[in-house]
Amino acid sequence: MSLSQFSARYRRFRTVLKEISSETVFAWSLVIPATLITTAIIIYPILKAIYMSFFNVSFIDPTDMAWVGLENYRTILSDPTFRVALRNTIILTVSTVSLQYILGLGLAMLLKQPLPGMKWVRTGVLLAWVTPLVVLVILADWANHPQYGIINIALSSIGLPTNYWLGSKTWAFPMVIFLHIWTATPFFAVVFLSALQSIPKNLYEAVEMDGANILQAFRYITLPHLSYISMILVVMYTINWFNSFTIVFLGTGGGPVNSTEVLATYVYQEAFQTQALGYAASVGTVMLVLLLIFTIIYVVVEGRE
Amino acid sequence: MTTLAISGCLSDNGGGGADTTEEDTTTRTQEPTTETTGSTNGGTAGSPTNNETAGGDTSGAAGSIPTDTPGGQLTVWSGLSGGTFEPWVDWYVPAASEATGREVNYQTQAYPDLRQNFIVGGREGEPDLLDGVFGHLVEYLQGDLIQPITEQAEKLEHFDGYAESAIDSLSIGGELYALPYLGNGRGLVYRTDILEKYDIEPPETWQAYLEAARTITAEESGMYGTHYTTHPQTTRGFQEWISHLYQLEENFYVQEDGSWIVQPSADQFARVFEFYNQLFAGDNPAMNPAERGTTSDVHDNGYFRGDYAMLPNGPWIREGADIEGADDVVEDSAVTHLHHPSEGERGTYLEIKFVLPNSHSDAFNDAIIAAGVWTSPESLRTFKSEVNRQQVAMVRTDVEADYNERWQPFVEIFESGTALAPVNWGATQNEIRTQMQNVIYNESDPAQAGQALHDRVTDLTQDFE
Repeated sequence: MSLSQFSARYRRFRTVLKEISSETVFAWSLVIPATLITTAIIIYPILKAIYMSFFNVSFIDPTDMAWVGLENYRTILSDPTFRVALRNTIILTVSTVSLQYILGLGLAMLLKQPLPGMKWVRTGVLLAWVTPLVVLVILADWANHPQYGIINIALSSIGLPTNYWLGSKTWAFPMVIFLHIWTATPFFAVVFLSALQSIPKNLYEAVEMDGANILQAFRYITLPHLSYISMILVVMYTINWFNSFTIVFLGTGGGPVNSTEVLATYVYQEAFQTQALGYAASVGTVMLVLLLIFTIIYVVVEGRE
Repeated sequence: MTTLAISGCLSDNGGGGADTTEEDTTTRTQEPTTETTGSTNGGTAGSPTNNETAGGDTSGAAGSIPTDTPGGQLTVWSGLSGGTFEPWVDWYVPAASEATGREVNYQTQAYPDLRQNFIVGGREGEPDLLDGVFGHLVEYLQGDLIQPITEQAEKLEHFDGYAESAIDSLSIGGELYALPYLGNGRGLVYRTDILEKYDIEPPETWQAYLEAARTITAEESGMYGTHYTTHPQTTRGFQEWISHLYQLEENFYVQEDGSWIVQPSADQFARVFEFYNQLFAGDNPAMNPAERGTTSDVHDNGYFRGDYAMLPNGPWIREGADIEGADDVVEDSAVTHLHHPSEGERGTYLEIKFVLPNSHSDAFNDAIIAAGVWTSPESLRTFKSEVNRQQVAMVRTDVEADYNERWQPFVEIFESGTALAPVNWGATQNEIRTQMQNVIYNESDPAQAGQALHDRVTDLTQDFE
């Protein structure tokens, strides 16, 4: 960068700073307290966890910390359970976010139709989203009960085999994915619905007059208008489900045989059951780095488009 | 990761020891609930003063324990949640308030939450007194959260009434750290009507048990022979597994020349895993393969629904049955010692619950007094009659269990129990559960699982101090 370019940028920076300072002092005064609190309850613990990841720390006595450098990270590389948890986490995140997106968009387009009773359908759709995850898992466990679960009663009534599906090596993980999709798809649908309703109708009329079919209208009108909100939803729920804990912990405990183990439950197990806080912190740091990489790449790519 | 074990006077043999309770599974969470009473600042019948028993303290809990500065609050954390315990709590809170001259703030939490919250925040001084299970005792000691109470406890008027085995189980290095209030051992609960129907004697050996269970599965429509808890996060599964291990070997960890070693061999671990493997073997398996990975809710309630004919279980099964038709099942039930391998002998896991004061509490002596009230004969008799938990009688020689003939064997079963060694069991439990999962889901055979477990727990002993 040349000196003149640097000077121009610096002058611009000062001009903008002066504008912000003079015109938005009140706004800043509202934002700063929340920022400070967020820093205290989010940033500080993150930094502390990263720091702890370089130590051997027991949950029983966290004040007793022994420096081990990168040893915890080396252990991660050779830890088979970590690999399983990482694989499951990626599969869970990719599959749930993808399916939620597709199903949510489809549901939104259905809800947009001016059919009678749609407002009640919208209310019913939201019920799954507002149900607390703990309640959802309890209901799922009940529904899966091998003796009196409603799923098994229905299956046996039509002659199909029954099982404790959350305890099945084959079906536990798909069941976990289903629960994730069940709880979040309504939110996608509602957000997409509001976005769809904001698209001017005359755009569709215009492309129809130009001879475009439904799919073309969807591709060239609907999707671009959903681009920004899609980015927010995808990033938000990728982070959310990458860190997913409640459904797995309460539903399957990470079993059977680690088939549903995800990184968040693995961190919990290492921290509070195996009592290896330092190692758990290193796994958490790896999660943070992976999510940061994803978020930066996605936002940059989306921004360019 | 560093795990510590306390070099103590205990091996696994005899006495008491405990792990998480049957009432609170690792998967239950609960917001703390609070009950307080207004007994304040020495106003009632005289505060306990030095070398004086508290006025109105019929339990003799204060004895001659020097008290702390009178007044203020005494926070008690308990895992005894639910309405069942309310009659006893209604007795305990005023009694403890009277004995200590403090307002008792009684809060309940699930044991896993209680443990975590205490480890994280106990150094701030709260709670003053907490309820615990044996696996937590060593963790609290390693975290410098508790200290010996021997000197003060021996001043309790009713101290001599504690069962020696219970006191021994809560002593480490010759020092007492907690006071016991409940003990139980796991036995075999079975349906007399079903066994009689198929002319089956109550099985004493593992092989007889499996054969009996398979017969029942084959012949009795809608019923499986047995059920074991195999959920990957449940402590009940660990307790059932180690109950059987103690039938093969006296201890899990023992001290030798100042170091901890693993006493059972890999083959002995494999034997237990083989038993679990056989539960699901055959055309008419002893246990429903579709119920792998289920929790203690399925276990306990399933018995009273008529889903199983035999179960490894404890006295809590009787007292917790509240589903329709349970009374009829109880009428047709009996108890005997847990089935054991033909080359082994009777044995079971021994559980003792206790209360212990927080060493960071500013009312340490009052907390001991409150612990004395909790574990006094009067308290345990109230517990027995109001809550109908006869297990409290196991830890005192001056309180009798009122089991009827059907459940009386639990007394003898308790006496055959083995406690956990005073080491940190967290990683060991995880490994046992992992290998159990591998076996029941056919990821590895019992021999491999036994060897893997032996290798891992042997490694863990390197970190024990």
